[in-house]
Amino acid sequence: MQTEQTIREQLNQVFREVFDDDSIEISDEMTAADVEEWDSLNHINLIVAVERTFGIRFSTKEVNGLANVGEFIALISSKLR
Amino acid sequence: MLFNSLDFAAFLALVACGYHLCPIRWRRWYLLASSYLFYFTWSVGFASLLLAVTGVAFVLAKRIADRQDERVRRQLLAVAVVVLLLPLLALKYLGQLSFGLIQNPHGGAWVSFLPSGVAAVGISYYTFKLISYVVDVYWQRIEPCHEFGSVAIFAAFFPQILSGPIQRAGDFLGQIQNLEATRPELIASGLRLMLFGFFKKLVVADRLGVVVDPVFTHPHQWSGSVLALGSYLFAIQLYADFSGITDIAIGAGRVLGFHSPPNFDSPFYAENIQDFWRRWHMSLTSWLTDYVFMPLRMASRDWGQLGLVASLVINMVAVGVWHGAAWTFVAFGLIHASYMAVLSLTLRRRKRFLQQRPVLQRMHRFIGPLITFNLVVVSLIFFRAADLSDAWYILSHACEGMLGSVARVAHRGVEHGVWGLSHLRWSPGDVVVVFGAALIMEAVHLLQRLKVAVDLPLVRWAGYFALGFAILLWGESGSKQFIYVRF
Amino acid sequence: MSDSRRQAEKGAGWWNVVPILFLLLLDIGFNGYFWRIPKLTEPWIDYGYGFLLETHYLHRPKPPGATRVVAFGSSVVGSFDRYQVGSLIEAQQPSAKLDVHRLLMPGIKPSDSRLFFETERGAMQPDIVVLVLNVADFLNPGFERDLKEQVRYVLPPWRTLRARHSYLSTVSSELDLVLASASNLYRYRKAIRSCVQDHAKLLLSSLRHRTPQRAYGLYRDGYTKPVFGLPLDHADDLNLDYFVSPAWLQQRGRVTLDFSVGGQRLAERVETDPGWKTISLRAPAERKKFLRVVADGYWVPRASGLGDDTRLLGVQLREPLPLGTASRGAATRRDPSVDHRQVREFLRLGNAVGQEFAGRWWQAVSADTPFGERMRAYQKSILGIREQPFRARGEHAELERLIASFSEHGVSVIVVNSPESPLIFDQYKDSPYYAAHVRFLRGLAHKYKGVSFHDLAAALPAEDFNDWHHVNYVGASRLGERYAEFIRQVMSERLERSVAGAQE
Repeated sequence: MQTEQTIREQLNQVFREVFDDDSIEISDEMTAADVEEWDSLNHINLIVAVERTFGIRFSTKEVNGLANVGEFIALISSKLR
Repeated sequence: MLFNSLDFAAFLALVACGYHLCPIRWRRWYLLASSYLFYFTWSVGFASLLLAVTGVAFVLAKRIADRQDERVRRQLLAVAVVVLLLPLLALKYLGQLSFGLIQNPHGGAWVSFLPSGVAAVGISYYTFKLISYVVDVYWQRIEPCHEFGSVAIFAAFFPQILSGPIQRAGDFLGQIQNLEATRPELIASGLRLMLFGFFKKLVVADRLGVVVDPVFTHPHQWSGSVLALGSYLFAIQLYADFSGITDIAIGAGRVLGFHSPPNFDSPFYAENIQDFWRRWHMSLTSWLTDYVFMPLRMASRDWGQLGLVASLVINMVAVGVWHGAAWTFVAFGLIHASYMAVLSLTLRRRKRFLQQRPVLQRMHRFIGPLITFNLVVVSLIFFRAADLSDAWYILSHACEGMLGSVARVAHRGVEHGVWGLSHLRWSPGDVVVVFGAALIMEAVHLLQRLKVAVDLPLVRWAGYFALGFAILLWGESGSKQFIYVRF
Repeated sequence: MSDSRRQAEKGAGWWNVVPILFLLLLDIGFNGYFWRIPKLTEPWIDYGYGFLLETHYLHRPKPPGATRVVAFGSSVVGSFDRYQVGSLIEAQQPSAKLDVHRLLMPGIKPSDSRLFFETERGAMQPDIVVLVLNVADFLNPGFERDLKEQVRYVLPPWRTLRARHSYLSTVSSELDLVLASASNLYRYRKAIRSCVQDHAKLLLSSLRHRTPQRAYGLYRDGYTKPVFGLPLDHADDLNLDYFVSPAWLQQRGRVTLDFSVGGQRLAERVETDPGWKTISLRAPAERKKFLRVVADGYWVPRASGLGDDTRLLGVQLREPLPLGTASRGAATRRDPSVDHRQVREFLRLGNAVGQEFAGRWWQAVSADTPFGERMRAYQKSILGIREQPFRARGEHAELERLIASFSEHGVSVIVVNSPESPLIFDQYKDSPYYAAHVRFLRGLAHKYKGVSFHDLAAALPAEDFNDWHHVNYVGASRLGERYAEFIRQVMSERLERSVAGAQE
């Protein structure tokens, strides 16, 4: 069972890899507008990377409904339960 | 009625007066009636199609929201999408099949309606709007609307029905359900925007059209440098034309108190093609991204690069084909698909390359837009040409012409004829007017981008007078179809 | 929002009324100021503008005791040069005071003319109206439906809307007329544009300081344009021979030539006699010299469109040879070097006459050129009248209404059937339609008081025409003499009548 903290750390690592930027620090309020390379093309790469890292599967609907990174983290932890 | 006609000005004036005098309770019905009245001036028969399609979307959206079973919801969604798309596909594409997809019988998209006399005006726009409504309800992004009238206005809203922008249901329905009291500054702002839009359309775009049309209608009689010039001018014409009528549409909406999404954001300053599509015809691209590209990409995410390229190709071809059923539009889409594919596949490598060369990276800010502009111009040759062979002819000879002109300029200095201006039989007066107008257009865009508000009323009014007189004196007369109305 | 800010905004809001009031003022007072703005460059920049300028000039009161003569018609009235006609009449009758004007609008038809004069006759107060008509003006199968845009532009919008609203095809054109009758700025927008272009042209040409390298303003046969220039590639002294054509002097009476080099005027010559003249000039000491000659007037024989008009001056040149060239006997002068890009085909087809002219003409008509196409198309349509039955309806009835209105108000009307090139006229002049048409026009002269009719259809030979019914400058100068004759006649009749009236 992963705690929210570990999820956060792993997610941060995923962000750094996908967006090729080691200075990224995620926060709950962070959105696509805050990261330079986070566009529709890279969004899917992010989703794929998260799915592989955590071994989960998202649906289009779930992914569409996310407003910020905080909700993403909540979604991931709900999937892991 | 088209936007650039006196009828529309009179119509809008009357409707707006009535709308603002109307008590807020009745405004929705007034607007619905006006929008349908507007549609009647095009075709009464197809107004019933619009009504029917709206009804289908309304009913199915409510059903989807009511059900919990995922399978049933998906079935209802499928039915909705099919039923909504059917009229669009039938009227727009199957009608062309009898001529063969190879030819575009009217030489590009400007001249007149489909040969069968079909005037299913705005079908591309309202179909997309309604599909986005149903899908958004399915994705539980918005609540379905329980008032048929509101959904009907959403689909038929007359400022947007001819050429967009393609507004999202949530945005529009939110406004229509919460109508506020009249705000005079909105009306003034809307009128200003319309003034600017008419300027762009009548003075810049239509005048450029006079020069560009002969080049594309009979490409074989022109030299390479003229073809090149014509292609560049077409890009500017298309931009002025479409951003002009979008401004008129948004402005008209604003006069009625509605906010519409923007369609353009200085597209020729984009540093790469991906950025370009985020700035050009924004409402269409974002629609396709949300409802075509993303679902496809999600579905194909396990197939790595192949999935990416496939999704890109389908998405960009959809952009092309949305404009019309001709191979030239397919080619246009494929060209952009290849640009995007190359772009996204080499993204990381290019980024590393530039990071190691800071000088180049700084220059990239200027070279990027230049390269992107040229890439776009090449694709627009296919967009505008009558058929593929013409497009290929223009492209090959334009390149030759460009290289030849550059060589000649290097040798002899700039001559009037080198750039083909004299061949196009354009008087110096015309050149001054059009280029002056284009410069003014860009200056105003710059002011808009930098959000500079000119406070001196004298200067502002001098500007309005200048635009108004420019339209009065130099607006190209004769109602030309908007390039995007037929779609 | 704080109260003071709200106050400020409200104050600012009121200020916005000022520009709108200004705009309204510009619009309402338009006729007061706009028509006083002079035309600075070529007059035929825009026929509508020229027509409107002339119309509004005619709103000013007549000089006391003057007879106001207004020539009116479609492009065929281009053969009426007011300077020529005016000076011819004044030459015969020095005591006559004349105020001669010409209103020319290509494509205008009798039905349009009637609408025009409904309001303008009272404003203009003409004494004599010369209507120069061509049978093509009456061939309007659409009758009243065929309202050309350039003609609609000069007609009064509200009356036009009321008379023609059932024939206007789109709501837009109706709204266009409504808006035009409400707003002067909208109604005259093309005139405003022409005026702006006019001034811009002048500005541009004054900014051009470049000295031209080659001779300009010259035709291949040596005739010149109103402004022409010659490069002087040698000494300070210049002897220039020039020939002043008698026809030009006959039209103008006197002409003034202005000689300058590099902006500095060297001499001014006033010519009243035709023939060869010599002028000696001492040019200022500059390395690159260019002699520029400006004449104070020119002749335009027909109104067919921009760039097609022939502007021939009665000046023909020969310039001296450069110094150092061995004199070869008689050839002490040489013809000026002409930039062949500027050469226009002299419209008498190289001075041909008779059969030779006819041969070249038919060659030009059957050629695969835009000119040839136009000529063939016109020929086809005009020859169609051979099959047409004549009916005194439509345009003919409108003409009668117009003439009746003139006659009723004591205006003398001279109806002229304008000349046709015999090369086409011979093919339909005996047709029943044409005979009935001429009979109708003649009948109007008998029916109404103060109306005279002159049939000039066969008055000129083929080589006096530019095309089927537009004359060139030679033909026009011949017609001018006839016009002067007709007007003189009417003037003496009017004098008799007024004397008789005073006696009663």
